[in-house]
Amino acid sequence: MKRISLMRLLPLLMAFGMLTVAVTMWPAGGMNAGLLAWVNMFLLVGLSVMLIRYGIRLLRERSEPPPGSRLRARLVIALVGMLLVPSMVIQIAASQMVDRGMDVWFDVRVDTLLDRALNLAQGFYAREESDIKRSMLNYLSDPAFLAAVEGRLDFRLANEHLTEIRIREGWDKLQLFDINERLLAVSQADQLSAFQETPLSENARLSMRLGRMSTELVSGKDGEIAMGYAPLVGATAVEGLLRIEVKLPAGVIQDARSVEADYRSYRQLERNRQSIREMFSHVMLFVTLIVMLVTGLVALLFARRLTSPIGELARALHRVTEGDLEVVIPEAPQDELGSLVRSFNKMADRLRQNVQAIENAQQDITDALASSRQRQYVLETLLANLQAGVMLVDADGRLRLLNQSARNILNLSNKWMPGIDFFSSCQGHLQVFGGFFDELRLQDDEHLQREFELNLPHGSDIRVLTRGASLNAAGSSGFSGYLLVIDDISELAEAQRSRAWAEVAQRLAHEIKNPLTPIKLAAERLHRRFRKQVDDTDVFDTCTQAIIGQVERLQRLIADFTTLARMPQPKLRSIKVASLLREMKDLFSTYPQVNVEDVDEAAECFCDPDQIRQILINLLDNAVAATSAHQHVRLYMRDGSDRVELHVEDEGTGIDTEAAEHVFESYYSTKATGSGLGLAIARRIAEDHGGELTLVSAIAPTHFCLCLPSAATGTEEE
Amino acid sequence: MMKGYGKRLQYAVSLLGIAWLLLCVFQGAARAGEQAGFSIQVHEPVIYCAAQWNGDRESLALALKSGIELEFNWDIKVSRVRSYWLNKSIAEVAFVRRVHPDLLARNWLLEDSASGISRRAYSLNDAIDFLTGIRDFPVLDKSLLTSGELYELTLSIEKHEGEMDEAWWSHFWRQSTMQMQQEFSLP
Repeated sequence: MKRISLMRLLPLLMAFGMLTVAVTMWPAGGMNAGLLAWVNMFLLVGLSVMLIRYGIRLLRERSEPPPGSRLRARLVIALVGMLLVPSMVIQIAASQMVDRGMDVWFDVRVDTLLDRALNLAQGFYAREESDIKRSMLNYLSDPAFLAAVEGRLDFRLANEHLTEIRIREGWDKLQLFDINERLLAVSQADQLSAFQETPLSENARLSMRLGRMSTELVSGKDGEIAMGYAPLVGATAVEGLLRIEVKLPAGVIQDARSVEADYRSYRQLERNRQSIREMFSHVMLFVTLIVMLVTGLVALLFARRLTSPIGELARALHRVTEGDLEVVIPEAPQDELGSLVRSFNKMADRLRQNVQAIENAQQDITDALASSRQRQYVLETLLANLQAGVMLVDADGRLRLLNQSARNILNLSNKWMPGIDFFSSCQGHLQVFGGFFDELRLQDDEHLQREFELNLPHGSDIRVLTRGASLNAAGSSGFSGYLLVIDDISELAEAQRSRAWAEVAQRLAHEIKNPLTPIKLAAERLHRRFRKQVDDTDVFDTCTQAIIGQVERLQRLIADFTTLARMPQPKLRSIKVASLLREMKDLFSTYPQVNVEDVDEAAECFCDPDQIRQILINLLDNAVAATSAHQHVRLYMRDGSDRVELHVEDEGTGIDTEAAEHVFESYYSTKATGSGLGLAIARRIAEDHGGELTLVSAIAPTHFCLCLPSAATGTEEE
Repeated sequence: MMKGYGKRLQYAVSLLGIAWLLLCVFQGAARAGEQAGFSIQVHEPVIYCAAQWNGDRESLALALKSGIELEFNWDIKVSRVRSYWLNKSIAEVAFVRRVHPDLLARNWLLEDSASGISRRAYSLNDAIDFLTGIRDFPVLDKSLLTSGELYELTLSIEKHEGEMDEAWWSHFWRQSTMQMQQEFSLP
């Protein structure tokens, strides 16, 4: 299981801590808690959600994060954490101090002191009221006042009476009202200019209506006045009202009101004690959160500025590792990171140049290799298609190369592979090559040429022309050794021999053919003219016939020589084999032992029919001559894929083994009258057609096979 | 696919957080709304409203005894219910009832902004009753309403302790302690 590091859990832990703080400080008063508390809650929850999202993304992150992001996150978390811890400590300490301060502030002694002060102030007012009420008791049924309200006392006397009482009681103002709230008399300490008639208050009316004394405090521009209302009670009912005004001493009143204001403020504060504590906490929390936010943003900007070059460096390195060397980082500020960036750019540039140089070298090598391979391919193809055998032997005598033609010409065994020691391998019929190689090595000349007659293991003899050349190391190849080129010149020698024979035959025919006709004519003339004159005609006939016969034989011989020497070019065309065989059947129909088998009418061969006809006649003539009437001669055809085989078999006396080896040689014949050119010409014709004439078996049966192409080949078409 | 799932999870967490915050915000208002009751009376040709704040009278009495001013801001709104759009406002009446304690004289000055009358009360209960209740308070003329239409009367009361701050931004700090709605229609 993948281990989860603490760094990945840190955002979630911070979010958990913030949510815990939010739950702990959740405003208990609901909507009455104040905007600041809800701003704090919103900030806390918002930050928690952001951290949870970031934490989940970190936990789910499987691939490598963008370069520099972790360093940036760590820097931000570290900076915020560095600020968060002291902020929390300060907040806790401040909360404790506030608690202590509020405990001191709202101490019970202060509470008691304020209560007593207020009681004193209230006592002053109460005493004033009680004094007024007590004094007013003496005048509730004052006869003079009753007389005045009943209209029995004039204003002047009533006023004097009022003044007398006011002075005696020390009141500031005394007014007399009848039951209809009409002012009857007034006496006041101030001058008349200050006299102002004020209507009765609700309290005064109530007092008159209920018939009881009452007091009230009235605030005016001159200060506070204690007012007393004393109903004048007649015999049966209230008949009037005395209104007394006593101006309270300004200094005392001011102090009393100050006490009241302080008491009110204190009680209000005390009442909001919890709210004050919460507000202080929320203010502190708000400040802390704002500081955290600002610090986080500043840290983020700072970390981004710091890690940006690192991230770019990491990205650039990643691209370089993936093979992209075209990466260039924009110039960084003039600090350590900037120096690092510049160094990286230089390194990338140098790397790019090196890679370019390597690529160029690789391209050159590839081209050279391709050229070398091409040359090697051409050489191998050339060697493989060369008719001449080629062998390359190094200076140490090791065979380095040989082609298939060399194997075919020299009938080399499989042990002849590159790497063998050439000299020691030249054993048996190849011993002459060892000598040739030795001579080539030891001589001063670079070239050597020899012809050898080789007797190959399977019995055939070939004639080869061997040319050798010394290769020194002065060339570009740096190879030192010997090149042997071997040509099979057997056919060439045969051709040269045939050409020589043909030339001889032509000259002989030319020299012999001319006198033969006069000899023959002379012999015939002698026979006709002198036969009757001779005594022994038999001897004469025999002699003349012998001359004529031998001349004719010589003429035929010369004709054969001429044919051999001037073998015409075959006129090739497609012919039906069946028609050819039918001609043979008709031609040899007088010989019962000759059996020409029927063949497929569609079978064709590509040949000169006159020359092929000549071959078949020659073969059938030989067969008929070698067989008696009860022995069989067969002519039949076998159709191959691209060849037509015409077979001639006879059950005659056959050909002995020694003769079988020479039957196709010119001037070799086992017959007394034969020229020995028939089968040689026949084979020559077959070869001129691109086919061959072979002796399949010499005896029982004597079997010849003539192979001909069934269709035209390129060479023949030309 | 995993990336999309992660994004959805993050959005879900964000929405849960916001929902939780809103729930906490409004639960206070809902709790406060349980502490009041009111009724609507229709008498020709005026529609009256009677309401009583059923909060903690002891707390009010304690504040008044301590000399702390109390103020109740009453706001009565009548609107026509529109299911397809926001309700249409018909009438709105707002007034303030305030009590100034006089600790030295041991009485309470009652001020009513609706009538403009101020008087003194010598009983604490009278002062609290003055603050917390209205009876037969005329809201609007019946002729402004149509029979059969559905209307909604919204009553909100804001309680404030201490001296009033008349600054415009002080409204942001005032919190409604109670808000109630009741639908009605004229026969």
